[in-house]
Amino acid sequence: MKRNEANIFVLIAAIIVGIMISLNMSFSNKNPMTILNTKQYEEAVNDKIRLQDQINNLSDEYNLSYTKLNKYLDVGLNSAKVSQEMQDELLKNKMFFGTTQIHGAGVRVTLNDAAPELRTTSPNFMVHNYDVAMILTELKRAGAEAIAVNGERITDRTSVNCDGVFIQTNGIQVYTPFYIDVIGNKDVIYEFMNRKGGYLKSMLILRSLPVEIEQVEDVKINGFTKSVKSKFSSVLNK
Amino acid sequence: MIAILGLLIGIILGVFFDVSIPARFSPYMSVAIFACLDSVFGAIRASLAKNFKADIFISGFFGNAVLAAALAYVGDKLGVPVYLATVIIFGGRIFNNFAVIRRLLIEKARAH
Repeated sequence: MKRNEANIFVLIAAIIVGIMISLNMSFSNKNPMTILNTKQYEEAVNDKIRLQDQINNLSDEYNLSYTKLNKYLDVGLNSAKVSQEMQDELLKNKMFFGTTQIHGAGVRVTLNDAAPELRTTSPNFMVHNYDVAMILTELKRAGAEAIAVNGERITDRTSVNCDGVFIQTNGIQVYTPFYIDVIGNKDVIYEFMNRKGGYLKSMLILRSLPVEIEQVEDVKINGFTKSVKSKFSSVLNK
Repeated sequence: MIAILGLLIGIILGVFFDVSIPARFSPYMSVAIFACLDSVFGAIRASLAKNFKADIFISGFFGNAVLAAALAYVGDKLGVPVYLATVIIFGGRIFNNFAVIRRLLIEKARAH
Protein backbone atom coordinates (compact mmCIF):
# COMPACT_ATOMS: atom_id res chain seq x y z
CA MET A 1 0.00 0.00 0.00
CA LYS A 2 2.74 2.35 1.07
CA ARG A 3 4.70 1.47 -2.01
CA ASN A 4 1.73 2.10 -4.27
CA GLU A 5 1.07 5.45 -2.68
CA ALA A 6 4.65 6.48 -3.26
CA ASN A 7 4.49 5.31 -6.86
CA ILE A 8 1.34 7.32 -7.52
CA PHE A 9 2.84 10.45 -6.03
CA VAL A 10 6.07 10.01 -7.93
CA LEU A 11 4.11 9.48 -11.15
CA ILE A 12 2.07 12.63 -10.64
CA ALA A 13 5.14 14.64 -9.66
CA ALA A 14 7.05 13.34 -12.65
CA ILE A 15 4.20 14.31 -14.94
CA ILE A 16 4.21 17.81 -13.49
CA VAL A 17 7.97 18.07 -13.93
CA GLY A 18 7.65 16.77 -17.49
CA ILE A 19 5.03 19.37 -18.30
CA MET A 20 7.21 22.10 -16.83
CA ILE A 21 10.22 20.94 -18.80
CA SER A 22 8.36 20.79 -22.08
CA LEU A 23 6.78 24.21 -21.47
CA ASN A 24 10.14 25.70 -20.73
CA MET A 25 11.69 24.12 -23.78
CA SER A 26 8.91 25.01 -26.15
CA PHE A 27 8.98 28.67 -25.31
CA SER A 28 12.71 28.93 -24.98
CA ASN A 29 12.80 27.82 -28.60
CA LYS A 30 10.51 30.68 -29.54
CA ASN A 31 12.36 33.29 -27.50
CA PRO A 32 15.95 32.17 -27.23
CA MET A 33 17.60 33.78 -24.23
CA THR A 34 21.06 35.11 -24.86
CA ILE A 35 23.46 36.61 -22.42
CA LEU A 36 24.92 39.88 -23.68
CA ASN A 37 28.12 41.52 -22.65
CA THR A 38 28.21 45.21 -21.81
CA LYS A 39 28.91 46.35 -25.35
CA GLN A 40 26.20 44.20 -26.90
CA TYR A 41 23.80 45.36 -24.22
CA GLU A 42 24.62 48.97 -24.97
CA GLU A 43 24.09 48.34 -28.67
CA ALA A 44 20.82 46.60 -28.02
CA VAL A 45 19.65 49.47 -25.84
CA ASN A 46 20.64 52.00 -28.50
CA ASP A 47 18.88 49.90 -31.09
CA LYS A 48 15.78 49.86 -28.96
CA ILE A 49 15.89 53.62 -28.46
CA ARG A 50 16.33 54.16 -32.19
CA LEU A 51 13.42 51.90 -33.00
CA GLN A 52 11.31 53.61 -30.36
CA ASP A 53 12.18 56.94 -31.93
CA GLN A 54 11.20 55.60 -35.32
CA ILE A 55 7.90 54.38 -33.94
CA ASN A 56 7.23 57.76 -32.37
CA ASN A 57 8.10 59.57 -35.56
CA LEU A 58 5.95 57.27 -37.63
CA SER A 59 3.03 57.65 -35.28
CA ASP A 60 3.43 61.44 -35.39
CA GLU A 61 3.51 61.24 -39.17
CA TYR A 62 0.46 59.04 -39.13
CA ASN A 63 -1.44 61.46 -36.92
CA LEU A 64 -0.47 64.34 -39.17
CA SER A 65 -1.56 62.51 -42.29
CA TYR A 66 -4.74 61.41 -40.61
CA THR A 67 -5.73 64.94 -39.60
CA LYS A 68 -4.84 66.11 -43.09
CA LEU A 69 -7.02 63.44 -44.62
CA ASN A 70 -9.85 64.37 -42.28
CA LYS A 71 -9.45 67.99 -43.24
CA TYR A 72 -9.75 67.10 -46.91
CA LEU A 73 -12.74 64.91 -46.20
CA ASP A 74 -14.33 67.69 -44.16
CA VAL A 75 -14.04 70.29 -46.88
CA GLY A 76 -15.39 67.66 -49.22
CA LEU A 77 -15.54 68.60 -52.86
CA ASN A 78 -15.08 72.28 -52.18
CA SER A 79 -12.05 72.60 -54.44
CA ALA A 80 -11.27 76.16 -53.41
CA LYS A 81 -10.78 75.09 -49.83
CA VAL A 82 -8.73 72.08 -50.84
CA SER A 83 -6.47 74.19 -52.99
CA GLN A 84 -6.14 76.69 -50.13
CA GLU A 85 -5.06 73.83 -47.84
CA MET A 86 -2.58 72.65 -50.42
CA GLN A 87 -1.22 76.15 -50.87
CA ASP A 88 -0.70 76.43 -47.11
CA GLU A 89 1.13 73.15 -47.10
CA LEU A 90 3.25 74.17 -50.05
CA LEU A 91 4.18 77.34 -48.22
CA LYS A 92 5.12 75.33 -45.16
CA ASN A 93 7.32 73.07 -47.26
CA LYS A 94 8.91 76.07 -48.92
CA MET A 95 9.63 77.51 -45.51
CA PHE A 96 11.17 74.24 -44.47
CA PHE A 97 13.37 73.95 -47.55
CA GLY A 98 14.38 77.58 -47.42
CA THR A 99 12.90 78.77 -50.68
CA THR A 100 10.73 81.48 -49.18
CA GLN A 101 11.38 84.61 -47.20
CA ILE A 102 10.83 84.21 -43.48
CA HIS A 103 11.26 86.23 -40.33
CA GLY A 104 11.48 85.63 -36.60
CA ALA A 105 13.54 86.27 -33.49
CA GLY A 106 17.18 85.31 -33.63
CA VAL A 107 20.73 86.58 -33.58
CA ARG A 108 23.14 88.33 -35.91
CA VAL A 109 26.77 87.28 -35.98
CA THR A 110 29.25 89.67 -37.52
CA LEU A 111 32.67 88.45 -38.64
CA ASN A 112 35.26 90.88 -39.86
CA ASP A 113 38.93 90.91 -40.72
CA ALA A 114 41.38 92.47 -38.32
CA ALA A 115 42.78 95.95 -38.88
CA PRO A 116 44.65 96.37 -42.22
CA GLU A 117 48.08 96.74 -40.60
CA LEU A 118 47.66 93.40 -38.85
CA ARG A 119 46.16 91.68 -41.88
CA THR A 120 49.40 91.84 -43.85
CA THR A 121 51.38 90.14 -41.11
CA SER A 122 49.56 86.81 -40.92
CA PRO A 123 46.63 85.06 -42.60
CA ASN A 124 45.34 84.42 -39.07
CA PHE A 125 44.01 87.94 -39.00
CA MET A 126 41.54 87.28 -41.79
CA VAL A 127 38.21 85.48 -41.84
CA HIS A 128 38.44 82.34 -43.96
CA ASN A 129 35.95 80.00 -45.53
CA TYR A 130 36.56 77.40 -42.83
CA ASP A 131 35.80 79.99 -40.16
CA VAL A 132 32.44 80.66 -41.77
CA ALA A 133 31.77 76.93 -42.21
CA MET A 134 32.65 76.28 -38.58
CA ILE A 135 30.41 79.10 -37.34
CA LEU A 136 27.56 77.77 -39.50
CA THR A 137 28.00 74.30 -38.03
CA GLU A 138 27.99 75.70 -34.51
CA LEU A 139 24.87 77.73 -35.23
CA LYS A 140 23.10 74.63 -36.54
CA ARG A 141 24.29 72.76 -33.48
CA ALA A 142 22.71 75.48 -31.32
CA GLY A 143 19.36 74.88 -33.02
CA ALA A 144 19.27 77.53 -35.74
CA GLU A 145 16.17 77.17 -37.90
CA ALA A 146 17.31 79.36 -40.79
CA ILE A 147 20.63 80.99 -41.60
CA ALA A 148 21.76 83.52 -44.18
CA VAL A 149 25.24 84.86 -44.85
CA ASN A 150 25.16 88.39 -46.21
CA GLY A 151 21.62 87.74 -47.38
CA GLU A 152 22.43 84.39 -49.02
CA ARG A 153 20.24 81.68 -47.58
CA ILE A 154 22.07 78.62 -46.31
CA THR A 155 20.33 75.43 -47.45
CA ASP A 156 21.40 71.81 -47.62
CA ARG A 157 22.89 72.55 -51.05
CA THR A 158 25.06 75.38 -49.81
CA SER A 159 28.81 75.11 -49.77
CA VAL A 160 31.24 77.65 -48.43
CA ASN A 161 34.31 77.94 -50.61
CA CYS A 162 37.35 80.16 -50.56
CA ASP A 163 37.57 82.33 -53.64
CA GLY A 164 40.48 84.69 -53.18
CA VAL A 165 39.38 87.57 -51.06
CA PHE A 166 35.78 86.44 -51.42
CA ILE A 167 33.90 83.53 -50.04
CA GLN A 168 31.46 81.68 -52.24
CA THR A 169 28.10 80.63 -50.90
CA ASN A 170 25.49 79.25 -53.27
CA GLY A 171 27.92 80.16 -56.06
CA ILE A 172 27.70 83.83 -55.15
CA GLN A 173 30.70 85.72 -53.93
CA VAL A 174 30.34 87.44 -50.62
CA TYR A 175 33.06 89.28 -48.78
CA THR A 176 33.88 90.68 -45.36
CA PRO A 177 32.29 91.79 -43.17
CA PHE A 178 30.11 88.70 -42.97
CA TYR A 179 26.72 89.25 -41.45
CA ILE A 180 25.24 85.93 -40.48
CA ASP A 181 21.53 86.22 -39.75
CA VAL A 182 20.01 83.40 -37.77
CA ILE A 183 16.44 82.59 -36.76
CA GLY A 184 16.10 80.43 -33.70
CA ASN A 185 15.98 80.57 -29.91
CA LYS A 186 18.03 83.72 -29.51
CA ASP A 187 19.01 83.14 -25.89
CA VAL A 188 20.15 79.58 -26.49
CA ILE A 189 22.12 80.46 -29.61
CA TYR A 190 23.63 83.52 -27.95
CA GLU A 191 24.77 81.56 -24.93
CA PHE A 192 26.03 78.66 -27.02
CA MET A 193 28.08 80.84 -29.34
CA ASN A 194 29.49 82.84 -26.41
CA ARG A 195 30.50 79.79 -24.41
CA LYS A 196 34.04 79.32 -23.25
CA GLY A 197 36.05 77.44 -25.85
CA GLY A 198 33.53 78.10 -28.61
CA TYR A 199 34.81 78.91 -32.07
CA LEU A 200 33.57 82.50 -31.96
CA LYS A 201 35.39 83.15 -28.68
CA SER A 202 38.59 81.65 -30.02
CA MET A 203 38.40 83.88 -33.09
CA LEU A 204 37.92 86.87 -30.86
CA ILE A 205 40.55 86.08 -28.26
CA LEU A 206 43.26 84.10 -30.05
CA ARG A 207 43.15 85.94 -33.37
CA SER A 208 41.78 89.29 -32.18
CA LEU A 209 39.28 89.39 -35.04
CA PRO A 210 36.45 91.86 -34.58
CA VAL A 211 33.59 89.39 -34.28
CA GLU A 212 30.38 89.97 -32.39
CA ILE A 213 27.01 88.43 -31.79
CA GLU A 214 23.83 90.29 -30.93
CA GLN A 215 20.30 89.24 -30.23
CA VAL A 216 17.74 90.56 -32.69
CA GLU A 217 14.00 90.69 -32.15
CA ASP A 218 13.03 90.32 -35.79
CA VAL A 219 15.41 88.81 -38.32
CA LYS A 220 14.38 88.70 -41.97
CA ILE A 221 15.92 85.98 -44.08
CA ASN A 222 15.55 85.73 -47.84
CA GLY A 223 14.62 82.55 -49.60
CA PHE A 224 16.97 80.45 -51.68
CA THR A 225 16.12 81.59 -55.19
CA LYS A 226 18.16 79.32 -57.41
CA SER A 227 16.37 76.33 -58.83
CA VAL A 228 17.35 73.02 -57.35
CA LYS A 229 17.61 70.13 -59.78
CA SER A 230 17.82 66.46 -59.08
CA LYS A 231 19.59 64.95 -62.07
CA PHE A 232 20.91 61.78 -60.51
CA SER A 233 18.48 61.04 -57.73
CA SER A 234 14.95 59.79 -58.01
CA VAL A 235 12.35 58.67 -55.54
CA LEU A 236 12.75 55.13 -54.25
CA ASN A 237 9.39 53.47 -54.02
CA LYS A 238 9.08 51.55 -50.80
CA MET B 1 10.82 3.39 -14.04
CA ILE B 2 7.61 5.02 -12.98
CA ALA B 3 9.35 8.39 -12.82
CA ILE B 4 10.62 8.12 -16.40
CA LEU B 5 7.17 7.09 -17.54
CA GLY B 6 5.69 10.09 -15.76
CA LEU B 7 8.25 12.42 -17.28
CA LEU B 8 7.46 11.14 -20.76
CA ILE B 9 3.73 11.54 -20.22
CA GLY B 10 4.30 15.03 -18.88
CA ILE B 11 6.50 16.11 -21.76
CA ILE B 12 4.02 14.76 -24.28
CA LEU B 13 1.17 16.54 -22.50
CA GLY B 14 3.16 19.75 -22.37
CA VAL B 15 4.03 19.62 -26.06
CA PHE B 16 0.47 18.71 -26.92
CA PHE B 17 -1.11 21.62 -25.03
CA ASP B 18 1.71 24.02 -25.89
CA VAL B 19 0.81 26.61 -23.27
CA SER B 20 3.38 29.37 -23.31
CA ILE B 21 4.61 31.09 -20.22
CA PRO B 22 6.03 34.61 -20.49
CA ALA B 23 9.69 34.38 -21.43
CA ARG B 24 10.81 36.45 -18.47
CA PHE B 25 9.73 33.63 -16.15
CA SER B 26 11.89 31.15 -18.04
CA PRO B 27 14.96 31.25 -15.74
CA TYR B 28 12.79 30.88 -12.62
CA MET B 29 10.99 27.98 -14.26
CA SER B 30 14.29 26.23 -14.87
CA VAL B 31 15.26 26.56 -11.23
CA ALA B 32 11.83 25.34 -10.12
CA ILE B 33 12.18 22.33 -12.42
CA PHE B 34 15.45 21.49 -10.72
CA ALA B 35 13.81 21.68 -7.29
CA CYS B 36 10.92 19.45 -8.45
CA LEU B 37 13.33 16.92 -9.94
CA ASP B 38 15.17 16.80 -6.66
CA SER B 39 11.91 16.12 -4.82
CA VAL B 40 11.04 13.34 -7.26
CA PHE B 41 14.40 11.67 -6.73
CA GLY B 42 13.96 12.06 -2.99
CA ALA B 43 10.56 10.40 -3.22
CA ILE B 44 11.93 7.45 -5.21
CA ARG B 45 14.69 7.03 -2.69
CA ALA B 46 12.25 7.20 0.22
CA SER B 47 9.91 4.70 -1.36
CA LEU B 48 12.80 2.28 -1.89
CA ALA B 49 13.91 2.82 1.72
CA LYS B 50 10.27 2.33 2.72
CA ASN B 51 9.98 5.57 4.66
CA PHE B 52 7.96 7.60 2.13
CA LYS B 53 5.59 10.16 3.68
CA ALA B 54 3.11 11.82 1.35
CA ASP B 55 2.79 15.08 3.29
CA ILE B 56 6.53 15.58 3.46
CA PHE B 57 6.83 14.84 -0.24
CA ILE B 58 4.09 17.22 -1.34
CA SER B 59 5.25 20.06 0.89
CA GLY B 60 8.81 19.52 -0.31
CA PHE B 61 7.80 19.31 -3.94
CA PHE B 62 5.92 22.59 -4.05
CA GLY B 63 7.82 24.34 -1.27
CA ASN B 64 11.24 23.76 -2.80
CA ALA B 65 10.05 24.82 -6.24
CA VAL B 66 8.51 28.03 -4.97
CA LEU B 67 11.47 28.83 -2.74
CA ALA B 68 13.95 28.18 -5.53
CA ALA B 69 12.04 30.35 -7.98
CA ALA B 70 11.58 33.09 -5.37
CA LEU B 71 15.28 33.04 -4.48
CA ALA B 72 16.23 33.24 -8.14
CA TYR B 73 13.85 36.17 -8.58
CA VAL B 74 15.16 38.05 -5.53
CA GLY B 75 18.72 37.33 -6.63
CA ASP B 76 17.89 38.73 -10.04
CA LYS B 77 16.55 41.92 -8.50
CA LEU B 78 19.55 42.27 -6.21
CA GLY B 79 22.01 41.48 -8.98
CA VAL B 80 23.34 38.38 -7.19
CA PRO B 81 23.16 35.14 -9.16
CA VAL B 82 21.42 33.19 -6.37
CA TYR B 83 20.03 30.73 -8.92
CA LEU B 84 23.55 29.29 -9.07
CA ALA B 85 23.26 28.34 -5.42
CA THR B 86 19.97 26.54 -6.02
CA VAL B 87 21.30 24.80 -9.09
CA ILE B 88 24.40 23.59 -7.25
CA ILE B 89 22.51 22.49 -4.14
CA PHE B 90 19.75 20.68 -6.00
CA GLY B 91 22.19 19.26 -8.53
CA GLY B 92 24.29 17.85 -5.70
CA ARG B 93 21.23 16.47 -3.94
CA ILE B 94 19.97 14.84 -7.11
CA PHE B 95 23.28 13.05 -7.51
CA ASN B 96 23.28 12.03 -3.83
CA ASN B 97 19.76 10.71 -4.09
CA PHE B 98 20.61 8.87 -7.27
CA ALA B 99 23.63 7.28 -5.56
CA VAL B 100 21.46 6.05 -2.72
CA ILE B 101 18.78 4.79 -5.14
CA ARG B 102 21.43 2.95 -7.10
CA ARG B 103 22.81 1.32 -3.98
CA LEU B 104 19.38 0.31 -2.73
CA LEU B 105 18.43 -1.16 -6.10
CA ILE B 106 21.66 -3.09 -6.44
CA GLU B 107 21.39 -4.43 -2.91
CA LYS B 108 17.85 -5.47 -3.62
CA ALA B 109 18.93 -7.23 -6.79
CA ARG B 110 21.69 -9.03 -4.89
CA ALA B 111 19.29 -10.16 -2.16
CA HIS B 112 17.09 -11.93 -4.69
